[in-house]
Amino acid sequence: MSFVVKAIFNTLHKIDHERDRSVIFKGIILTSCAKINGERTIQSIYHLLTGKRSIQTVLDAHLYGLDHLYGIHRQLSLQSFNKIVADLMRNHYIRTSHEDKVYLLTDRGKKWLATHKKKLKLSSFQGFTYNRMDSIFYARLILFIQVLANQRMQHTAYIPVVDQPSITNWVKKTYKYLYPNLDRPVHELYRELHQILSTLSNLEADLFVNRLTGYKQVGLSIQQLAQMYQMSGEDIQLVLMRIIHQMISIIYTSPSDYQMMSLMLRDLTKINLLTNSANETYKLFKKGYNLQQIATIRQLKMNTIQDHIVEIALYDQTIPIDQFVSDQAKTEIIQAIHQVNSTKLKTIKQHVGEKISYFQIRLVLTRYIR
Amino acid sequence: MINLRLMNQLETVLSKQFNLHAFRPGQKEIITDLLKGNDVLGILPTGSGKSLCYQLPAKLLPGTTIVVSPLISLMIDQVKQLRAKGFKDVIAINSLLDFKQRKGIYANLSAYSLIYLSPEILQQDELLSYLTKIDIRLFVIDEAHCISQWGHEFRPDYLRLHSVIEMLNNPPILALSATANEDVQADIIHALKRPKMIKHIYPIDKPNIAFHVVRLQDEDEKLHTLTKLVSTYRVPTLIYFSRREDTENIAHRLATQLVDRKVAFYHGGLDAFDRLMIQQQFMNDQLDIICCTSAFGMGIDKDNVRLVIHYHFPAQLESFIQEVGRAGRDGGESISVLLYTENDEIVPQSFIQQELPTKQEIAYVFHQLSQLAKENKQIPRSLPEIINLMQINETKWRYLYFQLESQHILANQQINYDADHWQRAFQHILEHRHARFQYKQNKLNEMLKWIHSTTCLREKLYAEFQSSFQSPAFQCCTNCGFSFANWQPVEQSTTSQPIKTWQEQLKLLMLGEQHESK
Repeated sequence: MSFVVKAIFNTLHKIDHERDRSVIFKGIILTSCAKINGERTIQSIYHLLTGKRSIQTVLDAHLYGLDHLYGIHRQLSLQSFNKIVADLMRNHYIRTSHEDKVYLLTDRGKKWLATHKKKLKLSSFQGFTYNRMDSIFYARLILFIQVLANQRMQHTAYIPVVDQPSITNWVKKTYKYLYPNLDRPVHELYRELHQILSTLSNLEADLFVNRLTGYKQVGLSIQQLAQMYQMSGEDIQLVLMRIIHQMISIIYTSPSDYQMMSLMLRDLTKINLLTNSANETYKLFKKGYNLQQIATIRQLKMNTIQDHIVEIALYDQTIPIDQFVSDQAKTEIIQAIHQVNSTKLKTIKQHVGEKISYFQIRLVLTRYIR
Repeated sequence: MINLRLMNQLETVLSKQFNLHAFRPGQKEIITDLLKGNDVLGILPTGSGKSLCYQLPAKLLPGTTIVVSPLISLMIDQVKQLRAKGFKDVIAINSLLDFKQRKGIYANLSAYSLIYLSPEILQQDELLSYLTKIDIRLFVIDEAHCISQWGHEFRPDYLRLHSVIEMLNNPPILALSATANEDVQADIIHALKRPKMIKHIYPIDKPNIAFHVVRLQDEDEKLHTLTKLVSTYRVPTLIYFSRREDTENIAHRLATQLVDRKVAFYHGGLDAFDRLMIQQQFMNDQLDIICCTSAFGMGIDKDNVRLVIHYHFPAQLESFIQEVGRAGRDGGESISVLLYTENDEIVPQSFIQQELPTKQEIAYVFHQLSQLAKENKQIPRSLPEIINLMQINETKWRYLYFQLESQHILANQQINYDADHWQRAFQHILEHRHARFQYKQNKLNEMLKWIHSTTCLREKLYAEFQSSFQSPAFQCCTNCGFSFANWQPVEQSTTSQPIKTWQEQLKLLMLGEQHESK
């Protein structure tokens, strides 16, 4: 059938590979492998990048100094993840250690990482700190730009680039708040974008602007950007996220310089970013109900409510955990952590008394972050 | 009469709500009949504005209009486009919505004047119970040829529609299709049990499209011909492929070779956001060429597509007519080019194989069912579980499920075991499967016969669907002396200017043209 096509594309594919389109993705996996150093499975890196809301993932992120990479690619499919791991194996950047499912860097991997480290700019990521607010900020920003560009041309018949109600409602509200005097905000947002993009590399600014949709100018899809910049789709996604994190960090540092963009971040506190279900639990908890009562009211299992409490404690360091863990239990858990020199839940559990539950260990561990 | 008053408003709503100034052939006639309360079967060619025939009444009539549409992605796109036009009280209900979203919509159903539904979701009792509580004034069946067992795209769920319509108090029905021959038309009317349905049949031939079939030695020559063709003519172009990976590969190749052309690919595997971006770029003249599968095109009203190339041909003439019909909606001279190499039929042939269960597969399903029956069990509720248990793909299972149901072996999840009856039923299903296979095979043969035809291609293409056709407005076809030398289309360049710096682009995007000149 299409042998010729296949032959041509096999060659093309080879060239692609040599050019290495996934430098950042690769760098992130290698960095994570290096830091974890065989103490966790390869899946834990997938959980890290997709930002799994489990205490073990969050703890590990901090323990291994990878919290800046937490949740930086939430759409990452397990398939693409497995593919790049297989690629890295085949090309001898990583190897598995004997019987375990753990992966270690080879000398080749170490060398590659050392030469590319600077270029990757991984320290610009602030995954845990900006977790979830990053994508909300970005969605608000690109929709707002589209709305302003179209309204300036008095054009109303367009398809919004974002259609999640939480985002569109925010944009509607803000638009109404700024209306009818829109000229100033448009110019202000333009000035801010220009200024903030100037702090990035030319390629980054270029890529960011090419993705934007305005009036009769539709932004480029991830695949189109990938083609244009000779990068993989994964790397495009990661560069975009890195840019967003850099932006948020700059806005936080000098909010008075970025009034419009600060507006897009203002209400995005950590606690607002809890899962809906955890938020429901939190509301009842604040009203003074105990966990058993909450479980009954919400018709959920006790375990689920406990998961919510751990999630809340993770984001809100001020909530008191004393009512769930006595001082004595706390001391015992902390001693166990030091003794076994590990934060693996199972290992800790084996070293503490029967009476101490997983729930209590997880709660104490939330206080170990930062 | 309330409806007389409505009819006087047709033109006003057309211009106000849809920003159109005149009806296209057939639209007003169909709408008028619907407003009188009649049932209508409308056969209108691709690109003739079929959807307006129900969107306008939906806006005009009190209560709600229901549209059954077989493709979820198309449904979602249509809703987005309608909302962009200011038609806000419209919604698509399909399996992609999560539990919470669905609940929210159900609680508020009567607030929508237009509801798109997939035929599968219409089988759910919960949704039906909500639908029976609202005031439904029009029931629309899009792609109505899916109702015919002998149509080219039979969807078993479509056969159940008449009982749904009964439950909804028998509102007037509009059945729409672009390609339905007389047998299929009769089937539609029969299955909906509305013998008095008024037929509005419009010719589907396009006098402004010329048909050109090019026979080539091998894949190499095909690629070469394609590249030469699209590099010679800079016009909005669609290139159809059978497989997703080919759209990506060839798009990549064309983009590399033709640096001044904007090329993109499109197929059902892209996520909804990127799909929409590509469509919009094409509509906005930001792209020259789209390499696509059959997933592209429906619901897109770009009127200046000049060239539709089939790198692979579809498995029946009906699909070919629909895909070609995306060219020249504005009436301008357009060309359909089919690139053919020997053995090209292998791919559509394999598609047919994948659609129907083999004898062994049917036997295995019977075996599994009897096992379940012996243990007094039902069949699993979830599709993945069934597929895992029965070891066949989803298309094949849908086909078999329908057959088993009509043989009274299955009723919902319930299995009715009767050894003697099952033996006969097995034979019956086997025969049906064979007939269906033969039918599909014949369809493919017709397509091939058309490609190899030595007489007028235009005449041959439409012969099965209508008795005559309009004489060509420009060139006719390969066999009537088509020559590229006689085709000088107006060059349509994309709006993308020479590459700008990001600073220039940002300024243009946010502050617009007038600021640029300063």
